[in-house]
Amino acid sequence: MEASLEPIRTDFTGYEGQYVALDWRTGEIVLADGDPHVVLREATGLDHVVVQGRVPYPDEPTRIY
Amino acid sequence: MSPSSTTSALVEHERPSWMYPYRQDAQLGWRGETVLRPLLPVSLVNGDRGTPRLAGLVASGADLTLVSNLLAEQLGIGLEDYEGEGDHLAAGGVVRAKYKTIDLRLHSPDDLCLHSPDAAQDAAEDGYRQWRQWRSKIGFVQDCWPSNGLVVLGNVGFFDQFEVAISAFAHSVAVADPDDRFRAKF
Repeated sequence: MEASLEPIRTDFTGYEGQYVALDWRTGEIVLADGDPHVVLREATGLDHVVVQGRVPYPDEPTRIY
Repeated sequence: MSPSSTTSALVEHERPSWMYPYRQDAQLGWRGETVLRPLLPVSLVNGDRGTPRLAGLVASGADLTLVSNLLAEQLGIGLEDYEGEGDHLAAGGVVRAKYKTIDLRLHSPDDLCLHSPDAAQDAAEDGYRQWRQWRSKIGFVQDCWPSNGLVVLGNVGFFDQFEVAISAFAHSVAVADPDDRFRAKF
C-alpha cells in the first residue's frame, strides 16, 4: 500500500445550504438536496458514494471542531 | 524527506493498516484557505437495515461517537427506547444525545463494493475485507446538530476499537486492529 496519499479535493461552490454526497474516489459531488433525507435515501446502495453532510454558507462561523 | 519515511509510523504494523487520505471540508478556513480533514467512510447497521456510507470525522478530542438523529429513521430505530441521555459540548454548542447500542462499519479504503456472494467469498479467501464491524453505544443527537457532517468518531465507539494514527503532515489516517505488540505497550 502506498504510504503517501494525496488529499481528495471537492469543489463545493454552488451547493451552499445543501446536503451533498460524493463519489469517494474522486471527490466529485453526485447528489445534492436541501433535504438530508433525500440525499440519505438516494445514496443508499450506490457504489462508491458517501454522504459528506451539509455545505455551509460562506458567512457561517468557521468550525474548528 | 521521502514520503515513505514521513508516514512510516502510520503503516508499521504487524497487521495490515487501512490508509485513508484527508479530504476537503465543505467550509473554507478563517483565511479563506481549503481545509483538509480526516474523514472516514462509515455506516451504521441495524439488522437488515443500514445507512449509506457517511463521512465520519475522526475527532480524538470527542469523548464518544455522536451521530445525527436523522440516521435513526434510516435504521428503523426509535429513540424513545434509549439507553440513557446526556448533554455534550460538541462543535461549539451544547447537544442533547440519546444513547443507543448499534453496529458500526468502517469501510475499506479501496471499497470494492462486492455485491455477489461468490465474489465476496473469493475476496475474503484472498484476505480482503470490505469493512470492519463493531458494536458500541453511541449518541444520537437531537434537533440542532451543530456540525456540517452527520458522524463524529470519538473515543467511545471508535478509538476504543482500533489503533488509529492521524497525520495532518502526511494528510493521512491509518486504522488497524490492535495487535499484541500494541496491547503490550499499555
